Amino acid sequence: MAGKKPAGKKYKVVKDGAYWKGDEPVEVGATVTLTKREAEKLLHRGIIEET
Amino acid sequence: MAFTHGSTTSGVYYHTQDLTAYADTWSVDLTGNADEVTTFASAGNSREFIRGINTGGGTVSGYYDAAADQALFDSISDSTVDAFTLIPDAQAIGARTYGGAGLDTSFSPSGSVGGVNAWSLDVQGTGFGGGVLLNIETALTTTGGNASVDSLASSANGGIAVFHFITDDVTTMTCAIQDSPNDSTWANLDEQTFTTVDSVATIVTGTIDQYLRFNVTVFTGTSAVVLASFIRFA
Repeated sequence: MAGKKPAGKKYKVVKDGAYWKGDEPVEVGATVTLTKREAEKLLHRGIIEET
Repeated sequence: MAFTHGSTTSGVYYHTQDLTAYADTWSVDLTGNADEVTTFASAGNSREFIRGINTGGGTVSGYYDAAADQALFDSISDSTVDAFTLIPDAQAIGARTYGGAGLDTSFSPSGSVGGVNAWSLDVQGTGFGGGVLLNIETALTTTGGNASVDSLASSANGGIAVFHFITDDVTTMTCAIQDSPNDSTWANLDEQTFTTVDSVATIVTGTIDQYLRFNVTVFTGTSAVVLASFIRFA
């Protein structure tokens, strides 16, 4: 049986040019949905904040 | 097996100097210290050790040239921690590197009447290890990301982002080493803006995702040569 996909939570991008989707930067202020594991790394680097 | 010959070494870089055309010998020393913790309660007839703080560094030597000599001579007297990179095989994105941040501790030009004048450089690492090449020595002229490097797994203990900004004809260039968990969304591990030749080796902490790439985000000017690599700490 396939495992359940981790639930995502919304975060706000706060560091200019530091988060990208492919070759496009995500603008400051944009909201992104991330898993807890993904978010921990970006929070540590100051790239996102809790909404 | 894919043994390589010493002559395949394709890059020797210290700070802003591409020493490849002046060097003919290199070596790297990575030491995993083992500190003793033997007590009266230690089992059997054996001493016990635990892993301590690792150290690393490298040595490069080659043939004397006035231009390279001046740059290395200037570097020995400054207190700046500079970037150091060795590439044992052909230059390609994903190729193995050794290096990191270092202080040159010895620069020794030498000569004799019967031979070619020579030099030797010792670098003490202040964050040193084996990594992967993310941007080769070629002229960049615009923004954009390189092909990614799949490290097969993420790592938890940080690493070192290494940039050598070797030659420039730019007003401003901003470039980043980025990681990704899925080869699709990317986050900066370290971003640097260069307006003149320089080198930077930055220690980053925490989780490093499975994929790595080099991305030029701002480029105003004509061309620039940047060597970029990333070293994961195990």
